[in-house]
Parts: sequence; C-alpha cells; structure tokens
Amino acid sequence: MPEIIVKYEDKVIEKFITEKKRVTIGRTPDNDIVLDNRGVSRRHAQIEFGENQAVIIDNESLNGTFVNSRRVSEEILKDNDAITIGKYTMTYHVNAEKSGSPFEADGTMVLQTKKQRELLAKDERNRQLLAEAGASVLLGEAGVDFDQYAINRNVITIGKSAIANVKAKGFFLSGIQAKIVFEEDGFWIVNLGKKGKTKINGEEIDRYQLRNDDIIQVGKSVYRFIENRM
Amino acid sequence: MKYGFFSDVHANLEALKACIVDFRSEKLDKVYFLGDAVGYGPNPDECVKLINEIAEVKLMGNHDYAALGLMETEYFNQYAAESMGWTKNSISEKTIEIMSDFELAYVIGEILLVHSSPREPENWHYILDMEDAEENFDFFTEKICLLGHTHRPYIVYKAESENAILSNDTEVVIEGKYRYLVNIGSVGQPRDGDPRSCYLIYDSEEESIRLKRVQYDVKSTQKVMAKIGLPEYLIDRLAVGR
Repeated sequence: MPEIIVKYEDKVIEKFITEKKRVTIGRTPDNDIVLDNRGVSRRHAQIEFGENQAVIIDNESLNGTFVNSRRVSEEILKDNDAITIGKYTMTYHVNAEKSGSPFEADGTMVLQTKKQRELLAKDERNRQLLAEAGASVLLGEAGVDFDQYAINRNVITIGKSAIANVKAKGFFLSGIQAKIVFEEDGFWIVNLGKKGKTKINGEEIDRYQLRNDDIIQVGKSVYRFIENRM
Repeated sequence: MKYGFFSDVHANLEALKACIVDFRSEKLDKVYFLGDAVGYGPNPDECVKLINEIAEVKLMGNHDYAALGLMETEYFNQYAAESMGWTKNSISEKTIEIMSDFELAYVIGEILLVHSSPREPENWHYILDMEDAEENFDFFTEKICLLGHTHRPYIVYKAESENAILSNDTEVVIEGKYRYLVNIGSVGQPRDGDPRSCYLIYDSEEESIRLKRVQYDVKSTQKVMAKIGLPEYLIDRLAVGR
C-alpha cells in the first residue's frame, strides 16, 4: 500500500497510508491530507493512483507544488520522491511495509523555509522570463554567449555550425549536434551528431522528453530548459 | 593541383560511382561536396558513406537538412516530399550522424562554396535567372563562388560595375578582372536536358574551370527506384535530364 509521510519544517506530523484511488491535498478540512497553512491553496493538489503508478497533479495552485525541488503541474511519482507544498514536505513511498520507519530520513530532502523561499523566488523569475519570451526558453548557464533563447518554432538546432540556431562549443562536436522538437506531448531533445555529446542532467541521451528545469549539456555548453505551460 | 567539386547526388549511387571513377581518371587531388546527398534517389546510406569517405569538405543541402528532421517538407513539391518521407524512414543512425556535421558554407582560398546561394545560404534560395545571379555577386567577396541546388550548370562572370555575363562555354580560363558565380550542376538528377552527371574541375595551375559530364547507368538506378516504389515522375526524369 502506498504511504505518504507528511513533515512540517522537518518534523513528521502524519503518516498517511491509503488504498484510495485519489488523495487530495489542501488547506480545507475536506481534503484527505490537510495542510493548515496560508501558503497552501484550498484544493492545492491531488495524487491519482493508477494500476502501477501514482501521479501528482497541481490544481493551478498559487504557490506551486514541487517534486524534488522542481515545480510541477503533473508528475509521475517515484519511490522516495519529496513533494513540497508551502512549508510541508511529503515523502512518497510506493509501499508502506518496505519503506521502514517513517522517522528515518533515508536521504530524503527536507526543505527548510529559506530553501522554500529560494525555490519560489526562482520560480517567479522563471515565470517572468516565460511571460516575456511568450515561449519556452533555454537559459545560457555555461559556455554560451546568450542569456536566454526563446524556443518559438517547432524545431531548433544546437551545435557548432553557422546554421545551428543555438551555438554550442566543445571538441569533436558535430555541426548540428542536437535538435529540440516540439511534438504533441511536449518538447523532445534528439542527439543527431556524434554519440555521447548530448547530456541531460548529466546522463547521455539519444532521445529524451524534456521536463521543466532540465539541464542540457551539449559539448561544453550548458543550458537550462524552462518550459512554458501557458 | 586539380580540384573536383560535385553536388546534388540525391542518393543516386550509380551516378556517384561513375563520377568517382572519373575523379580518378582525371587525377583530382581533392574533391569537395556541395550538398544534397539524399532525397529523390534510392541509396541514401550508401551515398552518404561514400561522400564522407572521398570529400574533403561536405556541405549541407536542403534535402539533407530535411532528412535530419530540421525542416518541414510542406514547401517541397509533392514528389520531393514523398521521397523525403521514404528517405527519413530508411536512413541509418550513422547516416544521420555524418550529415549532422555537414557545413553551411566553406572557403578555400579564393573560392566560396555554398549549396544554394551566397546571399542567404541557410534559406535555400534558388538562383534561377541572370537577375538573381547578378544580385548574388554582392554577397560574396571571393573570386569564385561555387554552388549547386538547381541542378542546372552555368558559368556567370562579372567585372566590377559591369553587367554579369552568362558564358556559352563549359570551360573558362579565370581572368583577373572578373569574379565568377558557377553552378556546378548535379551528379544524381541533372535538369538541364542532359541526363549525364555533371561536376566541376578547377585546375589551379591552368587557372581554369571546366564543367565535366559523366555517363552512368540510368536504367540501373531507375530499377532500384521502381523496386522501392519511389514516384514514377522521379524515375522518368532521370532518363531525360529534366
């Protein structure tokens, strides 16, 4: 049975084990998990349990729902994922029996208020950025000569060629090392050139569906993907 | 030194192989490829592999670009789009990797290489008449600009503040007072009424450029195209060079 351990500023306040298909999270008492705090919306989020997976859905809450420090609108939960809403952190366990004592930290991140504030500030910056760009954007993080690039077409190319939309640096890079394509289900990045030169969050990829806040590395150039959900 | 420049192979392996034999008999020191390795024809993987092996520099053509999934094919004509659909599904990962390193433009000394036009090589414009040609002289500073893209070979030359002139010859000696805009024709799908493959030889000692035609086994390419089920129109045009 799935288990959700609710902590408030590092203290466990509830251990929630459920067989329900849907668990609602919010400020008002009619929710399954009640988080009584002003930073929490009345019906903030819900977790839907399917056959083999659980999905957390943010109900367009004001302050957002974070999974492992990343703001999400809808996200498949993995064992030990840390869900942060306001000052609360909830650790999701696929199976209550196997998860051991809920009082063990087991490496799960616990967000302090300061961290939470930083996350929200960063998210606010990203929201402004997206509003200005009117599109999803790549932020230049390292080895690039731009601050941001708006992804305002269906295909953009990354590489060292003069023809590439987004320039990348590095030895033995292909002219067009990678492309980002917009498909029905979102943005995908595809490595076209030499193998192993495109990495997402440190992992080499051939083809990968981008998620908000992913770190894209092409050769020595590093970009952060900020997805526009508007 | 003798240099060869070839373009628009369009996955026509028979034509490419015949040209490579001719490169050897002409004792060319180096050969350069000006784009469109794939599209229309039946052997994209084989052609890209061969081109990659023999050419010093490889340029990106619009068909190569489309095959990498970087361009919508809605601007392609019906036959080009149909054959591009087949090409995208049939090319190997290795072919994609090789083509992803094709360049947009390249300068060798006093020679500029582009696929479509010196004006905006990334937008794949067509230089179709003398007016287009004349205009494009303003967009390069080198002595010679070589290109492909339209599958129709020509040599145009122009002196400073004079009108551009279309040469009647297929061989021209480079003169000091002129600059040159040269379409080197197509290896795999000529459209100037001569079905033979076309490429260009530049002899740096003689200071001459020469358009060279090469006979290849058209029927053999047509057979492979028919077997795959590529559009009949594309099969038929090879025999007439239109």
